[in-house]
Amino acid sequence: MRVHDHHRTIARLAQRGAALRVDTAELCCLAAMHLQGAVGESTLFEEERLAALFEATIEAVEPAAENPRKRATHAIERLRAQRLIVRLDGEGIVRAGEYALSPLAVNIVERQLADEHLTRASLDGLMTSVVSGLTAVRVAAEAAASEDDWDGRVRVPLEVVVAELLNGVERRQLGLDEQQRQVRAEITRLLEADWLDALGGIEALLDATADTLVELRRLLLQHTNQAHAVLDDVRIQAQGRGRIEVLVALRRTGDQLDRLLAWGHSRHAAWSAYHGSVHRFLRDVVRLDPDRQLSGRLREQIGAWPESPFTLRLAQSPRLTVLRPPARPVERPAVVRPAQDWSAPVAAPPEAPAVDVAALVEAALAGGATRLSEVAAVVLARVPEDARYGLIGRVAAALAGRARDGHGGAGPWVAVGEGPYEVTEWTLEAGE
Amino acid sequence: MSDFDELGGGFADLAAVIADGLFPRLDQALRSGLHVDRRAPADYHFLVDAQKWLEPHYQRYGADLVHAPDGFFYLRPVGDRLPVRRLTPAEMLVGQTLALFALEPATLEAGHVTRTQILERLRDLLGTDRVLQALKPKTRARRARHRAEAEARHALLATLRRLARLGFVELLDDDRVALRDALMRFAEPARGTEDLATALGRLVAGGEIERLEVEPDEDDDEPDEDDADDDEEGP
Repeated sequence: MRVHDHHRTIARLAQRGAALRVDTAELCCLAAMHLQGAVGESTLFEEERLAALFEATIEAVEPAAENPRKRATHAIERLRAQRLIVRLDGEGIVRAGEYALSPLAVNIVERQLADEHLTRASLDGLMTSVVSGLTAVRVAAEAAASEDDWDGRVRVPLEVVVAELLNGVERRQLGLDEQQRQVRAEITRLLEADWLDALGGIEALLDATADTLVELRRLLLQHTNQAHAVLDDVRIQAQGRGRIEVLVALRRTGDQLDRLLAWGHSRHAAWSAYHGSVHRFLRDVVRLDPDRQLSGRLREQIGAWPESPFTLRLAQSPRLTVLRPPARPVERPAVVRPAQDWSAPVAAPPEAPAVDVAALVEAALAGGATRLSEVAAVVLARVPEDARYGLIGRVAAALAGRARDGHGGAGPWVAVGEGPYEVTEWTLEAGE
Repeated sequence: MSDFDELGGGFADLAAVIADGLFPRLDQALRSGLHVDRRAPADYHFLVDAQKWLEPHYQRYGADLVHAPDGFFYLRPVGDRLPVRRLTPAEMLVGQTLALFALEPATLEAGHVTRTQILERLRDLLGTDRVLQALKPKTRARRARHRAEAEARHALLATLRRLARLGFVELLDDDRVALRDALMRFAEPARGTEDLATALGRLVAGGEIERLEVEPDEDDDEPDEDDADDDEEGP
């Protein structure tokens, strides 16, 4: 499955609001259903029998529960809603109204009940089975003649049988992790309870765990090397026949083996570090302070510190004086303007020559001009050059009432006389 | 120098020690107050091998290269040639509290302590007001308690970062702190059977610690001018 598919799958789960909520009493009820099968009873429950089993279980695990019957009914409803209990009816297989654990519930209960620790024997047995399975796959690959042979006798065993065996090892690894956590907790408990007297027991626990890890690591190394060698043989066969799907399955199996080995190394390293820490603790703290007085005296020291404070003396490297790189000062000229004689009277601008625009426009119209550009050309020709630009607007204003079309700037741009001015052209109505 | 150290040493002379690739960084780190323990095995074993030559070398600078029985090295200034760094009250209180944690089996099991645990232990030992005063001296009593708490957590993180730079702890992340062997320096006065005052006098005479003046309590009625506090080492 590609990463993109992962995202879509997770989004669908989130959208659906998928959730599992099982409290201790409910889990015990599921286990009680499962264990009925172990003692030879039917694991199909009629409604009344199921309610009675749940009620009895809840009474056992929650003696203070006020109404166990009601609690049992609610538990059944919740577990049904989460599809941990399924009602088997409607398909004629069994009669209606019987309940059983769903495969998910069976897995959850079995995982809770399983005592799967990775021991020398279990690891040796499982890894031997893995190598045997791979060897059988190698034989099948050498003899495979058809596509069905490759698929049924090579790929499927790799993906199902070997992968399941390796999953079994990984499950037991989790058991061993839990076992180590318990050993650490036990060491703490022994120290808290007996301090100096706990030394013998702690050292025995440490050594036993270390021995187990060393042995498991050795076995893992030995078996994974064998398994990789067989995988290499199968890979050569698959490459020769161009079996891409088998190569993919081989790569997955190889990755799973590497993960096992990496787990073994990491647990060994983590335990070595813990082993060292505990031995240092035993040597430097427990043996040197057999009566456990140091903690008490240190508490007194801390309590008294605010009244008689002291500090540790440490070396300190002198601060180096780092000179800034030389920089030429930036000259910033003052923002000033030359002094002026503000008292002098300001010269008035020359007055624009008086032009009778209306008369000139009328004269142009009388002369036969029918467009704005023509009138403007006639008017501008009669005034000095520096007054022409400003005059165009006044000409347009004088003609605004007579425009037939183009008024409003939609007409084409047309040069006025020989330039350099241009106006949007208006066609004028004929004069009265 | 112990007889054991006389037996060790993989260097022919001081020149060989100085020519080693590790020396410049370690020399600088020791002069900056770093404590080197077994968790840095290459550095630690270099110092074990070079101790015979480095002790007289640093004595010429007015400093002792100390190899503590708990298994770490540090440089202790005894003259005035090397500048002396004195830990702040916050660093001292946090350091002593961490040393207390280091003596507990529960810390051994977890492998670390958290900031919350440290603050809670400090409160148990000294009371909330004193802890806030030590971690954040500028905090005024009338400042909202929740704000003072948040500032104390920030100040604790800044203190832990400084202690980490000196090799007393290792910050696994912003919350979890792994303890290093050098923390036992903070417990030194409590070791042995002599009373605390005698032990402090002995350690002062040896140049290991220095007494501090007791600062008067801050006047709570002072105007609070620095509300926009200088949290230079916030998260």
